Amino acid sequence: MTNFRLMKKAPCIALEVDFPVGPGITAIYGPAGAGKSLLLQLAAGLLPPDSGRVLFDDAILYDGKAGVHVPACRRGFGYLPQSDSLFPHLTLAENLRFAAQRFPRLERHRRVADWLERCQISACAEMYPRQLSARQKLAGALARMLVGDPKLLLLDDCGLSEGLLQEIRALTPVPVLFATRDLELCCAAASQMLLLDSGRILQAGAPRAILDRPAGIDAARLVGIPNLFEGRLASLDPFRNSSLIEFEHFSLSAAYVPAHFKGDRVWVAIRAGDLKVHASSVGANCLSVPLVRTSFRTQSVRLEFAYQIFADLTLGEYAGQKDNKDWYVEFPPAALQIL
Amino acid sequence: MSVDWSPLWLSLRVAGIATAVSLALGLWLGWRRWQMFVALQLALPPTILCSYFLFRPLSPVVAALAGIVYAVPFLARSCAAAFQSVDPVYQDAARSLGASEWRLFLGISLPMVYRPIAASAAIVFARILTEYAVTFLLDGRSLAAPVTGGIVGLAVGAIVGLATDLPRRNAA
Repeated sequence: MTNFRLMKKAPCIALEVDFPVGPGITAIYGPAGAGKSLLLQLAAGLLPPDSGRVLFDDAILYDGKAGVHVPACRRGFGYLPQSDSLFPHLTLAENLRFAAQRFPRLERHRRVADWLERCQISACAEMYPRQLSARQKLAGALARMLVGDPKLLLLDDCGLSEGLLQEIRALTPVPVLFATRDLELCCAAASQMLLLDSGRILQAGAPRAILDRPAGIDAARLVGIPNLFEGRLASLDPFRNSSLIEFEHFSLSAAYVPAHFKGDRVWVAIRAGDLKVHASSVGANCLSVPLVRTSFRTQSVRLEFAYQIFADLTLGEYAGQKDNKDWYVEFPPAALQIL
Repeated sequence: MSVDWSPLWLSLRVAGIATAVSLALGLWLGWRRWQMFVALQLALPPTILCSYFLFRPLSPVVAALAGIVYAVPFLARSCAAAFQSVDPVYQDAARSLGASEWRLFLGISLPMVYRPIAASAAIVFARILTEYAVTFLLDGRSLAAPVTGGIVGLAVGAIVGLATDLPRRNAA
């Protein structure tokens, strides 16, 4: 079993995390300054944690109480920093040879040639990093990391794309832990995801599960749900499986909310894409709200209404509704999430 | 007129040994970032430094020792500054690739900053060679006259210092 329990007080952040790493790709998602890079550096053994315990395949790599600390050079983890890290005074092939030093001479040269080939950068083997393009530098850093047969990959937010992650997956079966600020990439490539904010893990699980059911208001904000309203449970009816929630400017009916009393304050989240927009009222949970702003995205149009209600429409839907005189926003009860 | 060159060779030898030893010490202190221990040395005038050695008969070894004591702080400070100028990301990368501290030092950090370190070693060599106050106070007779030393030192310092420091500035 592989588990990281790490505590570290840095000048601008206090990191306190405890998470297992399974096989496959684990994404660490969080805003800038959430402690992603610090977490990876601690996991790699480049910085000593204040306390905690690091287990890798049941071997203790760090234990604060027992004073065990296996240094980075003997952990056998691959670590890819955020910025360019190819040694500028060595050619690409020499960079790889440096990483493959522990292998005997012949094996070393075979491996270097092999990994240059697999990462499709054999042509620039004798070039210095300053002569390479950004894409080649990234491929070179990846090859240099993989040439030493790492047992776990720690990838910082360094411009990895979905394609590159899939290539890494195809090249090596070891677990991958990667930090990113790209939610799409987490969803597309990762099998597990950690939501990190201000040094703490807000939620862990499969990306889809986290996006569908954020555990709290902060998690919902982090995964980009713009519609978050604080309200009061005005009525609860378990027999008809319904409830009424009163907000500052409007009220909505939703499914019965278990484990709450009438009068409790709750947060309600609904994704922008789940709201429906109409030109006239269509019945329950439909509010007449003035439109404040329209902004165009690559695949959709985001409408901002009064009371901080945001709705995403596809370009086609928007084309059909853009001349609406009045705007009615429907909140489907099934899409309302009580946090 | 025959010229006795032996004092010059002696000076060069003493300065060479002193530079080599103080470069090794300076690299070590700079790598370990212990330059604060030697910072005090910089503030002391050479006359006080000489008093360490005043009660020993002057030999090339003592002269070299005096030069080392005089030169180590300079080199330790410039080595520490040079090593600190390297982006720590390279050290992180090297360590995670399984490099021991020794390989990190020899294979990565030193090659990346050898130019400014070589330049300060050249300047230190010239300074030891031309150090008049220390050798005169100890015993001035057997070492080269300061004028000869001055000319040689100036030439060495200028050539090596400029040769190692300038290309880097051009490249940057």
